[in-house]
Amino acid sequence: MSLLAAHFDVSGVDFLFKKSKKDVELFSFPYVYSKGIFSNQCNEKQFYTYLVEKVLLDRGVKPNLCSILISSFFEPLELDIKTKLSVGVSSLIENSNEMTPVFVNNCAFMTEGIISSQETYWGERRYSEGEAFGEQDDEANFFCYPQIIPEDISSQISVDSQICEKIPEKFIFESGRKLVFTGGRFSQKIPYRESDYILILEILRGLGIFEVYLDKFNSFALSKTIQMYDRSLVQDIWKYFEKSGLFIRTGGACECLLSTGLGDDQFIEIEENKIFVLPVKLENPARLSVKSHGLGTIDIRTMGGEIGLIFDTRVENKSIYSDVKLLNDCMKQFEVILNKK
Amino acid sequence: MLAPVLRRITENNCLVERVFPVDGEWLVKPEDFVEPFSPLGKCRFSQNSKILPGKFKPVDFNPPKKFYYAGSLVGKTGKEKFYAPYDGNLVETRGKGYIFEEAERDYILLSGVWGKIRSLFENKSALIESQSKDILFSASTNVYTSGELVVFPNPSDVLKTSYLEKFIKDSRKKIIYIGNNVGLDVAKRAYELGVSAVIAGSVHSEVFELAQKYNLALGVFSGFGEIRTPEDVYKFLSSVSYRYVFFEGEKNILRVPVRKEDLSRFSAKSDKKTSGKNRDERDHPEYVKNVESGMSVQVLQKPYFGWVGVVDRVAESSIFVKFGLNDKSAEIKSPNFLIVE
Repeated sequence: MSLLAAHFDVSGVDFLFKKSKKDVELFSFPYVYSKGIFSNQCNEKQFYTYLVEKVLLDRGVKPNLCSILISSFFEPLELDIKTKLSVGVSSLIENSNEMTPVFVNNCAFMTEGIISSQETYWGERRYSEGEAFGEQDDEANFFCYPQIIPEDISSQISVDSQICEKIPEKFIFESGRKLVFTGGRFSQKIPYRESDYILILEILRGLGIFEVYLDKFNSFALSKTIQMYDRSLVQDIWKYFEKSGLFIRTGGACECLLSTGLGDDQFIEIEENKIFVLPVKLENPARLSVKSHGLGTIDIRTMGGEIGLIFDTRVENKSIYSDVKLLNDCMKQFEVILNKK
Repeated sequence: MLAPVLRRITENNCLVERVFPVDGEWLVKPEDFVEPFSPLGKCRFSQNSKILPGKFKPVDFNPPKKFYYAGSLVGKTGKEKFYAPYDGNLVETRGKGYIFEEAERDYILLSGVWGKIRSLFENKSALIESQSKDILFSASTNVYTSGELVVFPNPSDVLKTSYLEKFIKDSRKKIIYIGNNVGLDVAKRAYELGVSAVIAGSVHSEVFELAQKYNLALGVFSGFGEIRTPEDVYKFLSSVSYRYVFFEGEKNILRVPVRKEDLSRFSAKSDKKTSGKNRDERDHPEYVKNVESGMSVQVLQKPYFGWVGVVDRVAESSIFVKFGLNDKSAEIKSPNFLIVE
């Protein structure tokens, strides 16, 4: 029997269709139900039921002959067709012992033990003095048409900084954990991927070394839902994630020695309040020693990742978004690495 | 490439509830057929009142209330005399203030729609089975109201306020289509004049916030910014000017009651033309479709935000759209567009 897993987020829907053991297709429908588009035609339940049926019929499968599993943000979604499992994102996070999922979309931030959501656009903001008239129109249009991808980087940064503002100041991640950044924010096909890594830097709180994975297809939600239904159906959940690299938050200036054992050791000194990206992607593990006042001395082994080693030596928790120079510097560094890929 | 289908005007069978302001008596019974000007029932109540300023001093007043004929002197606020605007009573409130209430008079509750009485609930409300054409708002305040539709001929910004003040004899309880765009001053004036609802092509987000603050019914067809009203919507509104319509903010629709024969599925002319396939699509509309050349699309990407054009060609993750200005087509990235039918 074929299987369809669907994840319904706030800006798009992602699917994993498994026709046979080897025939797996990941695809997305980059729109969602919104009242400003559909309220005179159908309700949310009718729309998503239609969408799932359409997706299956387009692949030559009758809905009643397929195991349908769904996950959704935030509450489990109900459809007018029979589903084998319907779960909310919080259940998926609770069932992830092997990693720390960090779920981010344009409305919320969720990870183990924390849910931080934004109020609706109109409940939240008020026109403030000094703001140019009509300045907030783009933001209001995102609210009407949640699938819109901002066409300029400044609009995206505005959206991202609002996500970060909602994270409690005292919240910190445990050093040494494998963090998987997932959710609608990272699965949206935005044209400037460098902003993903800046957002990750902003979300990361606490000093330490974090192994970061990026989920560009919402495959965490899809695979975890399948695992919750039948663990044997997903052998390796990690294969769907990008291994971005190590994010190292030192809390001040640091020294670092990277030894590959091939005679090309690199010694790097990074002054405080900088973001420095070192592209490292190795076949075999190298030894990394990091020394800083905040962290002490840490020795670990790493193979880097798609981005490499990302050092964050900010002393105070000042936002990158509020420091134009630092923001531009970060953008350039990530851009160079992404363009090389 | 799948994309949602936006249908700005849809036809629906609906139930319309008409409610007495106070308990009344019915002039109809279940199963009766009614037309918009058919009286459903009548009741008596004070239909106007005016709260008088704190410094108001009555003349020859016996608490707790006294009757005055229209035009007679009621009292003074400083040197300013207050004459009864209608036959009514001056009433002393608990806080030692005064309200002038119009004397009770008959109120006829009209049907407002073509349809059949389904049920009467006590002496309070009637439920009517009817049919409507529903126009979709991309955004609307969460207010329910009904009233006579007045359609301004898309006046220029300079003329909008004078249209509001002079075009209609009494703008109270009217649902007014003001134009392609409504500014803050015009919206404020509409509120002061007691307009029931303001509808337009677009507004700036600040105007929407003002409407929310004052609980003013406000609906926009195209979005936020300065975006024109879609041509088909304006034409339809013009054709039903002065009809009694229902503003349903929670559902993002303007409900326009129509005769059964005005619906396309009851039109003999349209049925002859409609083939089996099209008839099936009309009865079971597709909410999403594959984008193809020649389709109409609404663009949600600057500088064409809100524009409707025709798909010239479809690429892997974008489409090329012609707007009829010249032979050039513009690239619009997925998902920044909607199919329009």
